[in-house]
Amino acid sequence: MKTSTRFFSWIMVCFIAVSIVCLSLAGYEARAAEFKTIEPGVLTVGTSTGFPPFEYIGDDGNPDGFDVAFIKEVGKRLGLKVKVQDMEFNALVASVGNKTDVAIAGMTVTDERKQAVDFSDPYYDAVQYVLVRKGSNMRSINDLHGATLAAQLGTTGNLLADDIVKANSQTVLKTYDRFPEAVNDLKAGRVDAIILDKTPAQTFERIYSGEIEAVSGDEFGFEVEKYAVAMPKGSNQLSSAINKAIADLKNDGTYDRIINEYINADGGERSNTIVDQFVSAFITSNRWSMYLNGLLLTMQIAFFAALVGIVIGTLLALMRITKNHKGKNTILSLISGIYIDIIRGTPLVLQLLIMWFIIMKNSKDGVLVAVVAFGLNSAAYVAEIIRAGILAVDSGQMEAGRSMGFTRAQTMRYIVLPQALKNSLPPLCNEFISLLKETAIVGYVALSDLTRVANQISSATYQPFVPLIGAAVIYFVVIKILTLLLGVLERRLRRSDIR
Amino acid sequence: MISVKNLEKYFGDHHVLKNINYEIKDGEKIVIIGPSGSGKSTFLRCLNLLEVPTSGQIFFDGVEITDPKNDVNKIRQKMNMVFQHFNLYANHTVLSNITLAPMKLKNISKDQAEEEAMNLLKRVGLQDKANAYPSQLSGGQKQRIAIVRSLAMNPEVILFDEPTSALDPEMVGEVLGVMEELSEMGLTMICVTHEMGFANKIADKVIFMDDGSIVEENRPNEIFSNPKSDRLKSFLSKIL
Ligand SMILES: Nc1ncnc2c1ncn2[C@@H]1O[C@H](COP(=O)(O)OP(=O)(O)OP(=O)(O)O)[C@@H](O)[C@H]1O
Ligand SMILES: [Mg+2]
Repeated sequence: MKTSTRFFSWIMVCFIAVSIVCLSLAGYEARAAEFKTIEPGVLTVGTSTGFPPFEYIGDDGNPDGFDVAFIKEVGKRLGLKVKVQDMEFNALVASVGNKTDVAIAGMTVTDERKQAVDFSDPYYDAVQYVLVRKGSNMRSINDLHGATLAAQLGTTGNLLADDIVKANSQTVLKTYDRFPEAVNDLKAGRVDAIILDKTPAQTFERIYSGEIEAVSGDEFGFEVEKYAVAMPKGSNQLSSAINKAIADLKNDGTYDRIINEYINADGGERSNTIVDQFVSAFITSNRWSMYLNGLLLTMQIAFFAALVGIVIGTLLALMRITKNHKGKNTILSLISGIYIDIIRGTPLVLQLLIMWFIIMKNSKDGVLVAVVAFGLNSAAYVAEIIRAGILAVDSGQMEAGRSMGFTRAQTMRYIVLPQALKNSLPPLCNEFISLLKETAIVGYVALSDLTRVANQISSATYQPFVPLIGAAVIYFVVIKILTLLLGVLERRLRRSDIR
Repeated sequence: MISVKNLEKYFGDHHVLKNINYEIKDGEKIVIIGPSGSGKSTFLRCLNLLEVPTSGQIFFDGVEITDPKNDVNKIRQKMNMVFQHFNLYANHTVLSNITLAPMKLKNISKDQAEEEAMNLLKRVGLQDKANAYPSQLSGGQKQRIAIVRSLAMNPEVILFDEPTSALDPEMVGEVLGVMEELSEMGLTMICVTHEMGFANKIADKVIFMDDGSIVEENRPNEIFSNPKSDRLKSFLSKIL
């Protein structure tokens, strides 16, 4: 009996060790020579594409737009290389100071944001506009009362819309992660008006001329907003350098050049036929390679997360199973049970965000964070699968091993666990397939997986249809292939079933 | 060699073994008979602690195995068990079933373990099944392999719990044949069985159990031709 306790303590130690290694792989911080940046010599900039012309995915697949060009010029003046990270808008402020050095995303200075970050001097004056369907006669704030409004989550438009909802409780507000979806819903009649900044509003109006129109916020009584760069609180050296760079850019004409290049220029062409849409979604600028890279990233995360899940899940299952042979709860079975309960009782997307913003907040490696978060999540499900697999092994197998003189741990390892894993193989493969689909939320941690790529391309082309359907087809084909392989595997197992 | 003192076993409120006292000498062949539910299996399983006795003591070679301080795994290496349902390791080949314990528990080299396993397999006529999996064998073959698996550990005692009762009648003979051969080797054997002819042939002592107690114990011809208690008489009248 002693050796079996020792074995399970050993399992416990392994479990803790794996967790610690995962969590601390992240924990280093580096220093630049002049400015303290997250990565020495590099200015890591957070942005959120889907807000043209300030930020969108350019033809080369990388973030582009006024803000991106502007911050690159700022970086040049600071002597820092600029690395742009694309993420959800409402994650930007929380990322400043831990995942990114600064954020630039057409972000308006507000008191609420000022509590979390410092702002540079404003670099752009913006006014909020309202996008409505062509022919709509919404022209005053009263018209918006009681209507269905849309805004991008966390934007100034969102704040204005909140005020309208507060003033009139009949008003419905829908928030979106990206504008193209909101515009799509406006055209489809699902929302009546979108509140957003002037320049993107005009861009959308031009792209969908004849379908929607942009109305100046003056008519609704909106005030002028100031865009500024968000910086960590108290970053004096960095902020004065950035302010100086902004002033310099305005004085030497660089600022005007960028304005002309991005804001006063004509927006992208809209493709009309489905073939045009397909060409622009997949072929133009080799966009197919973005899907391919996205798919590879999706598979990579799912694969490594599955490995983490199987190792930790097996340990959890062995911990849980101690309850069955002791006939009552043990410390190990309780720990494992609580862990499984918590993981299964909370949304995966929250687990991912908690891992990214809290537990591994010093890690800049989104892939690592995603692998850890999905791995730890999958472990809970794997544990239940393997536990069922162990319980399905005839108890005579354990008795035969024990009566031969093997310890419980040895019997588990040489005799019961191999059979349990074989029993569990089909459900484990199913778990992998659902894991593959669940990774579609990694856009939250600034990763361009297949889903995020589809989103980026739909913002870049203003045509969500082909990219979204295309990504769905890619997922479907990959999963279909995996399911077919699983079927073959199951038939093999059944044929060689050795019981 | 084995001595049982005041052994009691409860399953919850169910009193299954009632004050069992018994001595088994080195090399003795003991057969246990008795009606279903009388506690035969439980008694056998208590001897190698597959069931933990509620109270009482069991000594093996002078060592008290019921004392938690003693390593039960070491003791079981010398006191194997053969089960009614064979319980061959389903994920191992026949050869690996036999060599696993010697290799892992006695650090015997793979070559040596396999050589000895093949010799044992030849003795039971199953050398051609060395690489088969248990699912590919008949019940009689499985049970012969299970016996060989025990023998490979060179145990001092083998416990048999109804080794032939899950077999088709035509396979009973081949297993009993192997056990008869074993009984000539000086091994201590304790066997629960309903095969009275076999008991008569090999047993030094027959124990008759009923309702958790040892009711009668004697040489086989005494038990079968001269039963003393009424319970044994009625049991024998039913099965013979
Ligand atoms: N694990 C257990 N939990 C509860 N009761 C049990 C357990 N094992 C056996 N029993 C009960 O203990 C009693 C004795 O069982 P045991 O298996 O020892 O009988 P047996 O003499 O071997 O009978 P059979 O000839 O049917 O195998 C039976 O009433 C049985 O129901
Ligand atoms: Mg029995």
